[in-house]
Amino acid sequence: MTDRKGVATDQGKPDSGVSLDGLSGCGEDENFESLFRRYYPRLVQTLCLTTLDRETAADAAQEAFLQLHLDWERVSHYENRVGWIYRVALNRCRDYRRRSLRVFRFWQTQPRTVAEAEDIVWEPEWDFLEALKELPDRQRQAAALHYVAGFSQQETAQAMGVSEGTVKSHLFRARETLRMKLKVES
Amino acid sequence: MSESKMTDEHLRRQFQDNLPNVDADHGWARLQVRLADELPSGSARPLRRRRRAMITAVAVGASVIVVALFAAAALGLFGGGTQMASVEVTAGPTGVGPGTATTTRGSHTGTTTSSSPGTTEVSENVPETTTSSTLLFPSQLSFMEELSGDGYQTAIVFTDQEGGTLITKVWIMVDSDHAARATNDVIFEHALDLAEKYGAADYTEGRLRVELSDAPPGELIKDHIIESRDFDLTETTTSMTPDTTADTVPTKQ
Repeated sequence: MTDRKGVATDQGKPDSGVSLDGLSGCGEDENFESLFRRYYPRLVQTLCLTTLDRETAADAAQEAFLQLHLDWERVSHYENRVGWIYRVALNRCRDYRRRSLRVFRFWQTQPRTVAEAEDIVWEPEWDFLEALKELPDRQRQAAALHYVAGFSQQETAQAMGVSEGTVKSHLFRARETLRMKLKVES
Repeated sequence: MSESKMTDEHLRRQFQDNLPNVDADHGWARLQVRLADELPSGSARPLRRRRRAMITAVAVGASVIVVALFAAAALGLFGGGTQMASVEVTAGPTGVGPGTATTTRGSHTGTTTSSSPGTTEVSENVPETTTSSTLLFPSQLSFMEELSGDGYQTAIVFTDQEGGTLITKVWIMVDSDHAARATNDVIFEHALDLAEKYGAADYTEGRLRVELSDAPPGELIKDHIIESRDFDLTETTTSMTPDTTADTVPTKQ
């Protein structure tokens, strides 16, 4: 019989009321625009390195803030609303990925448009990009949240909706892969 | 500095050196355009009203289908087999936001959202309705009825395809603001007991995922999953997805 506790899956979001320590500077009286200007660039950067696609990153970030705007009355009172934004954005990325898998053949024959994401200039080193591509989605997500967004393991776990142990595991594996691929000297 | 910290620091620099440049002003302008498109009157209300209208239409349509299916079943138009099929559920106000979901045979198709037909006073009442068409297992309605307690209520039971395997999913709406809400452990325990009792995951060979959501009205349930656990109701296996659920800290080799 299965463990009565069950097995935590990779779904979920932080319990409401759980604050992200690193984001405590985000005061409740901060208005929507200042919140956007403060967190949008970092969110897009994180999503770029998660999805490896700037259009997807920009779209997901825009969607997240659009949703925030619609729910501002409620979410603005959240202590961890930045965590909420990341959570929504990551969900959007997942949705796009599912959709893109369905229309993969179509897109293969279509030229990609860059007009939508012209506010993002991204010229990563080839080696670094190739190393990131080697990582499974979840590991890349954990690494981006940790190294780019600057989230602690606990905050990363909350944003990804997984346990801290799972994040440690993802980060450990990601680190090992990147270390080997990028030939990082210890 | 320890070896792992040096590696960590080096990787952090690599990430920072390869970040894109993002123009927040441009992003803000883009968002304003989108907001203008979405909200012609400058308010979130129209969009929500449209969404609610769509949800209501979907719920009504689903209810009609349900009635038609029951009528057809009553008239004996279907064979008497035990084939399991789709589930489409419309759950009424649950105190934290009800859900509407439709699924087709054997898979969840994604019209999954919460609806808000009621008002505040409705949302504080006891859950109203649960409508379901063809059942995944014989006692599904009993299962859904019984799986409720302090600050939680079953919203949807459906099957989903994951990596080529079929899994039974149970979405439970929880009220995070409920002062005396049962703990997540208690809810999972309750769900597991009932799932075993009613054979909720028989159709998917014991694979069961229970997810708790605190989605408020008008929000996607899946966006507000607060905790999710997998269970295997067969006798032998203990874990379904060990690779994504490692709970131990790996040691450096």
